[in-house]
Amino acid sequence: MKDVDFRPSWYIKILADREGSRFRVSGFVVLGCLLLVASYESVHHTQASMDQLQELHGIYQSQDGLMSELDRLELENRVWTQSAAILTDVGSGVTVSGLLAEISHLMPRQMSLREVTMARPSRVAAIDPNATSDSEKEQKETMGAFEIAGWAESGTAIGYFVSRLAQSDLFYDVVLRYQRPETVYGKDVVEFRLVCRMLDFR
Amino acid sequence: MATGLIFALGVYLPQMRRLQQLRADTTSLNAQLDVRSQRLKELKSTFEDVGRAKMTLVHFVDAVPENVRIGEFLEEIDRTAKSNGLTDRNVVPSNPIVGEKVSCLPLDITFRGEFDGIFKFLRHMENMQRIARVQRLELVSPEDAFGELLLSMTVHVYFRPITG
Repeated sequence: MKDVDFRPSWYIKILADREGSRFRVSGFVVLGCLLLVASYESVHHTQASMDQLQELHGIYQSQDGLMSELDRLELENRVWTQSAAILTDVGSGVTVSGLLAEISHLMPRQMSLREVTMARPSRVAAIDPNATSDSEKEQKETMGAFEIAGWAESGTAIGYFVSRLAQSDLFYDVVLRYQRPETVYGKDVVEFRLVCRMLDFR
Repeated sequence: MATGLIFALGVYLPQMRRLQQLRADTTSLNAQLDVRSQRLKELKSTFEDVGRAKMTLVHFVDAVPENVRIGEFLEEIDRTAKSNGLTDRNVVPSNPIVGEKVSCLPLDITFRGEFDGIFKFLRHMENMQRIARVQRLELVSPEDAFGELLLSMTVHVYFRPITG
């Protein structure tokens, strides 16, 4: 048998409205809670981020002194490095006295030198290609060349000298330009001229 | 719904925007701190490098002085030439070769003397604190004087161009 509701329809409508209102209130309460939680969370995170940022700022500022000291040191280091490079560029290489000492060491007794010439490129031009020079002679210089002329008692002495020069660490490309018989102060000698290049450690 | 919307627009969204900004700032600051940390790791080695360089280059100012300062050098080579018995001393300066980092004053020098004296003179000059480099050398034994040599050379005396 079908149930029959004897309540009047207006009363049923009131009941339905009440039910709806309860749902709405519950909804508002839940929404309110969610908003409160979200608000708390966002404020909490913002605060935490601000604290972290402040802490990082503190660390950053505490490093300022060290950083300026580091900047100063790096600048100083650059200046010194540049100075060291200049010293290496202009101050290194074989000395002419070293070359003369080597020649006198390699030269046999049966030989005497009449002429030694040497020319090498400028270090300033090597360091700074735009360097200005008024000297024409500077431009005409032979690059790192060494020329030796003299007299020897025999061709053997010249050959010995040439081979010893070629073996030296300071000279290379040793070439005998000429050797020819000559009479000097009534004595028969062999006149010679040789050229070589010198190692300039560049 | 309206309350929720007002809350979202008025409180939550600005707060979130601020949070986002703070996080971006934090990331950027962290990156800067990382860079600084990397540089600070080099502080000790840089400090040591500078100390070493200072020790090594303690004579740099005298070796390559600022400005040409040729007087002392000329005095010393004249003294050395005299003490080694070199005669006919002649020193002629040319125009300086000017570079950005380093410049030099070419000096044309001529002497007359024995090989031993010339050799000692050259060795002394090349070992002076002031850097002087023989660029061109002509050592000739003249016909008229047996045992004597004529020395003609170009020496570059280095200096630093004045900066600023």
